[in-house]
Amino acid sequence: MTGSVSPRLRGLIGLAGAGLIGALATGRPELAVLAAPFVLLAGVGLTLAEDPRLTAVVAVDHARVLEGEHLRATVALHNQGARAVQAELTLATSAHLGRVASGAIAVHLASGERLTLGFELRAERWGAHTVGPLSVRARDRFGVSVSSERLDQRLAVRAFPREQPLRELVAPRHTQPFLGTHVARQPGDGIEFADLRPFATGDRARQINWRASARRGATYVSERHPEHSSDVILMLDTFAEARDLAAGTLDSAVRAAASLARAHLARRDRVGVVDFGGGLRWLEPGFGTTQLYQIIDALLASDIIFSYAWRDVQSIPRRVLPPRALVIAITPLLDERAIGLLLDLRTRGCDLTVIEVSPLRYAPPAARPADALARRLWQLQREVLRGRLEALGIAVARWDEDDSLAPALEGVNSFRRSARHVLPV
Amino acid sequence: MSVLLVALAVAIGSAAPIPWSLALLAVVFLLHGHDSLVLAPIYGAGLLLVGEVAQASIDLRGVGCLTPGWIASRLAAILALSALGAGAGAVVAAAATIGAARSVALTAAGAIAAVMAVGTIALLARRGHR
Repeated sequence: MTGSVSPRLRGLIGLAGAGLIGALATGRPELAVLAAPFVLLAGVGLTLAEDPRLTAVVAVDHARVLEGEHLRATVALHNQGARAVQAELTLATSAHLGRVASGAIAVHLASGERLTLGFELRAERWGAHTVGPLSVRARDRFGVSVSSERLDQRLAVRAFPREQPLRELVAPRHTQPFLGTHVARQPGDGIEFADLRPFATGDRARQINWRASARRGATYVSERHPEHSSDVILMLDTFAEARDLAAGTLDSAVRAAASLARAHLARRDRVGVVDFGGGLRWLEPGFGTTQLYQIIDALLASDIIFSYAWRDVQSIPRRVLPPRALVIAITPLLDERAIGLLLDLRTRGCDLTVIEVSPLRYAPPAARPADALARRLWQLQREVLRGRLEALGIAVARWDEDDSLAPALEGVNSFRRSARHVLPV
Repeated sequence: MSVLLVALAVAIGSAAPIPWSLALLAVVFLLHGHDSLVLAPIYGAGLLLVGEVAQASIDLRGVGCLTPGWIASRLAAILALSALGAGAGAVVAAAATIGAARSVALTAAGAIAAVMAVGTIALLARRGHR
């Protein structure tokens, strides 16, 4: 620990010295009598002072939490010195990992004493957070010497985004030839009834629909739709966001992406992520729980990176956007480059759906009539943009985080059922 | 004025005004009257107590949680020092009442003793700083 005398000692010495000198100069012994306790304090304190030998080890009870959950960081202290110390401990944490009770913790440690202290923390937002460093400031019993040390031990805490349970998902237009839960359009082996057709050579007997055959006087077989999986690409727009001090559209977008990824992976879809913004990051589509954690880890690193660079769909590697994949873009529709990318994807025949994370709640309230008018114009511009996207067959779901994501997805499916005819060939 | 200085020290979280406040209180005491040598040890201990309590409240600024042991040990140290300070003051007061005639040699010895006391404390502080 880095030790030094307390700044107040200078004042004490000055006071004591002034008293003693004043007593001699004025011939009034009362001044020396008044100065005596201060001389004693400084003398005793400095004689007994020694560098404190404190060791501290920081630990957290959970390295992975859901955002909004509490965790506990513990500091194990050991006073290895020969004298008692008074210590103040301040535990630093990253911005969105808040302390439940603010301020330092002051403790008294006798010689050889061990003490474990707890700091209640709360993951206020998803992300990769750190706990530490720990600053320890130790004083001797009389407060005349102060030592401080910064323990550069940093512990990683990952706060996973809060997810919404989703029963209905965006139904993909195309499926992949893997077993899944989506009813494929083409006939094959499955459960869902598709059609009846006359028996043909090679058809199996178990396919014969005996009731239809008896009614029509000829042998008919039932065609069925197989259950296949699909490729789903979650595209996160990180060009721009609207935010206030507490939250922003990116926070909501990551929560939506995590919810969708979990729900699609649970239905045996292959899910990939593209973080498209100032930086470009991606995760190739994959199955299973491992992929889910990889996706969440990738989402936790999402951030708005300011950039003037104009990116288009050519920037995305081909293997990240498999043909016939369902692309779900989660965007606040604030940046022209993101909108351009959506239009580009659609004109290339991509099966695209947009979940618009509403930025309206982050817009400041209109204080003047002109502000109200500007806000209204902005909303109208957004309506026009939505109409433009929908005219191209892109389903746009408006979603505010206060609402559930499920109704927005229902709206998307409803639109996609009725908008098939506008799909470009 | 003195109370205001202590309040200012606590409010701004700086110990700098405390010695000035104590000095003012000492001046008030000296201006008070003729029985000052009898009361000085207790008054001096009281000044130390005031200074230490003010310092403790400054030290606690920014502290969100306090263990009971901290308060007990600090309080014990403050009270013990004040008691010892009163004793030390009493010894000095007793020495002052011996009634030796004022002389240049005695004044020089006193000055040397004062300088040595302050010098010793400064040396100790310097050693601690290193």
